[in-house]
Amino acid sequence: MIKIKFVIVSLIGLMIAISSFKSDKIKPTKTINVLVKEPSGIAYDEIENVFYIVSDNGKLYKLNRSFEIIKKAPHNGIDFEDVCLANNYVIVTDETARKILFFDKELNLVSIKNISYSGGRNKGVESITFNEKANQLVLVTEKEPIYIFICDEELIEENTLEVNLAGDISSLTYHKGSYYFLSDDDRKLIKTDLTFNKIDEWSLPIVNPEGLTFNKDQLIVVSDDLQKAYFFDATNF
Amino acid sequence: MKTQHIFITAIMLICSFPMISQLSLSNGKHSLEITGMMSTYYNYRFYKDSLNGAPIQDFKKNRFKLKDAQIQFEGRYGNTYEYELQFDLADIASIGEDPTNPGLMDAYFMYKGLSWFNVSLGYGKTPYSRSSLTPFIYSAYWQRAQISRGEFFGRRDIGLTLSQDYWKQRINIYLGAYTGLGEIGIKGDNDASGKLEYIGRMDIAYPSRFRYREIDDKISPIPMFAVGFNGRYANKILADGEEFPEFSQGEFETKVISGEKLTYGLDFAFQYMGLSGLVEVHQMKLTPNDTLSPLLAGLSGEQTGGYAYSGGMSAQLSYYIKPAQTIFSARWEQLNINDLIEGESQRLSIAMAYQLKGFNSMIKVQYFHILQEEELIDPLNWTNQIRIGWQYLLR
Repeated sequence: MIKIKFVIVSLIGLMIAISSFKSDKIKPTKTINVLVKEPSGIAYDEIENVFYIVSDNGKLYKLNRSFEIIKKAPHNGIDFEDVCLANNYVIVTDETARKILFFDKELNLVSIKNISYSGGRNKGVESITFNEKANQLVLVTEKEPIYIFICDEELIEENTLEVNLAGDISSLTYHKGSYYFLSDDDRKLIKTDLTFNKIDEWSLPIVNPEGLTFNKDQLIVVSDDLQKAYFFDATNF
Repeated sequence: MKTQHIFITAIMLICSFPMISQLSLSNGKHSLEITGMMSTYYNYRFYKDSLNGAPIQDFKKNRFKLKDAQIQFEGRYGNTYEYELQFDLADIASIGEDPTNPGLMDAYFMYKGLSWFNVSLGYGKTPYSRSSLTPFIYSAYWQRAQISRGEFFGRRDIGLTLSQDYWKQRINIYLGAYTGLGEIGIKGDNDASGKLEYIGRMDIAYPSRFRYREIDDKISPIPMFAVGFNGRYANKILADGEEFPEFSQGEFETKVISGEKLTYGLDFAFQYMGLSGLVEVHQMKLTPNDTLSPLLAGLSGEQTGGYAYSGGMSAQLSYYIKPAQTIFSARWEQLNINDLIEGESQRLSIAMAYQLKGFNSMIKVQYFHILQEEELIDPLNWTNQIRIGWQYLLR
């Protein structure tokens, strides 16, 4: 019995020791529940001061700054994984269906474009962001391998890169001249330059981080499994 | 020199083998994914000198074995229909040797268009036992625990399952009706009783949903727990002269009986910072309609009350060292096949898996050590066993 207690205490001690070495871990300043089931992607609209959140079950929502749902898109997809804003469109990736959907800001479906990528069903185009400086849409596959498709605003492919930034990529966003990648498997936030070279990375104390965006002064990460949004001080990044 | 050359070539092949990504096809509404898996191991048993006074002369378990050669088709139509077809060519090739593994692993479709529950119809895993429901590709072991590997209760069957999740997927509920013949159920008719087996399961997780996994490969930043309760009931009474389909009763003759059978189990799982654990307990009350059934061990009704208990447990602790891409695990098992017959078995397994490319490519080693045998029911001719091999997923 004494031996069992010794083993348990030793294991707990070991875990605490391991976790204490992660000096790059950052802590959220605020956490709130998200009313959207299985949130998988988030985008912030600075003009209207609203958020757009997509759900794993193919739904798109518009939320106010307090994260209350204002509107739901009438069009349902299959497996929405990420959302971004570009030129007054709300653009959504449907990973399983291999589609990119363009909505207006009132969440009316405007157009659909098909993506011809035959990787695994859950390893398709996971994330999308818009680099407004370069006027480029950037798409990323989830894993095995992680491809970055650089496209123009009409989704015409300009370049394809394979990167090895993390075990998987669950989300990507462009912010102030850098790209920020989120990894669910590694629970990491990774900052890169515009050619996707790693600049810095941080461990996130979040279960199943699936989407990220920046508002004026905060980085916001949503967790699919916990249906929560975590707010971090943006000056840390 | 030649052996060295072959060995070095094999290692180079393993290390340089490109990962084959699975394929998926989609027309925008209907998507189909094709994946596969192969695994091969070498097994070595440390045999006893003799069993029941006779010298051991059969060493056939010291061999290479193609464990898996699986192909899987997973389809989805919109958000309403899903289907899965999975088969194992290694099992099909060896069906003469092991008829309890027919090779078909899944063949079902699911309707998700109802608000209260999903309906699944066909052949696949029954919702009983967390260990059984956990996909084996995510395990460091080469064999499941004795109690949940399909000899004690059936792991697969043909039937109807209703399922639903609640509270942000933290609660999962399953209810189903099946032939009760387990893996043999797909071979044709029901047994002569014509009765079904009914299975129910509920699991509750906190603080988030807990997938059916036994390794904390995502290094959970907060402690996560899940507890599951499940039960299954069948009352199949065969008329005189009738028999169950061949092999359906299983090695311990507990999978299906002529009489009433009630099985219930509890499982508890946790994971935190790479450490994960799983404990399962199962018990079966077997009430044969024939008072002369071997299950009652030749004892009188006054001594037995007309029933026997069978059951056991397994407890497993694993630790994933992500920077080293290595999993260490230890498992203790206990099984009492029949409480009316003296004895129980206990075994200890230690496993290690080195990930060449995550779970997609793993070198796995499992060492089995028999602590105690149930000699009267299941005498063994070995004391220790080691298995080493390679698991490769085409996905």
